[in-house]
Amino acid sequence: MVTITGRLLDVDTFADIEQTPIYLNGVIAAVTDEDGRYTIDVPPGEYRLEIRPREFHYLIRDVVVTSDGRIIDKLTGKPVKKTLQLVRATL
Amino acid sequence: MSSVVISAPVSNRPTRISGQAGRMLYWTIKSRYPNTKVYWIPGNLSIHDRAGVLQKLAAHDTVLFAYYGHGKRDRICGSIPPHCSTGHGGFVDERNVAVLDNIIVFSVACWTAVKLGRDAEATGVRSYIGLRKPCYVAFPHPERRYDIDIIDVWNTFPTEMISGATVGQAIREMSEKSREYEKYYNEHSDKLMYGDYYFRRFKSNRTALVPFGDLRATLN
Repeated sequence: MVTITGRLLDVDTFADIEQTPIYLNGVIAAVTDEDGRYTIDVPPGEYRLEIRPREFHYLIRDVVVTSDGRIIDKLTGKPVKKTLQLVRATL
Repeated sequence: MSSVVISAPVSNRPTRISGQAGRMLYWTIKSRYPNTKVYWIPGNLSIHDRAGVLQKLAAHDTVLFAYYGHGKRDRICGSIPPHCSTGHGGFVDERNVAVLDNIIVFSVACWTAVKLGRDAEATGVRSYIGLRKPCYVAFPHPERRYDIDIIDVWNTFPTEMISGATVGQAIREMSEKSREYEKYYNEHSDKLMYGDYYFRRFKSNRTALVPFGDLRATLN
């Protein structure tokens, strides 16, 4: 198993985005705490990472979790950042 | 010659998209409808800008006000994001809603149909179109320029109005345009990573539209 940690922030206000489920392949794998942080234990493999907070733009990434704990974005080939900044999607 | 006033203040990421919509509407009117005067207020609607905009709205030849930006149930916010507790009043709220009298208002903003629409109708707006739910924007993605799609939907209403349509007809055209995009996203959701997301967001915006006042009103 590999432990993935991360954090969600509002890109404009830098506010923590709390109580937000993190989905891996459509299943809730974690929920962010009051600091916007989350921890997930998963086996290495390919996943669809989805983050769907209300009033924010969804973040959807097809990723590869490597055995050394990195998360690689399949589209860009680059590591996914630990701090994910989400964009508010409403006016 | 009738005048159209466009206000599209930019204050954060979502308003970059709505600001772009205002800019595109301005240039569409400028290039395709030379007989229509158009004022585009792209600024951040600071205290200093507001008086000028309100003056334009109150001018006798203003027939349409297209607002793209933040809103709350009882106000058009201007540049103040609704989630910021600044204690600042609205750009248009119950105190000065009479400035919308006798014009057609198209408000692309969250929640502004809930109370402001009723207030405007009560004080004499010709027609008022707002949303009774949050108004979602669309962002560009490598797979598709969803932002161009939503701007296309939004700008259908004012361009139809300038072409001579009634408010009811313009709403129908805008809804039909949204349905076309929803259908496309739904049918291509296997290829579009954000297809399902935007299918639901476009549908939410469409079903949240609420008109007040005279649906047979035209700009003439």
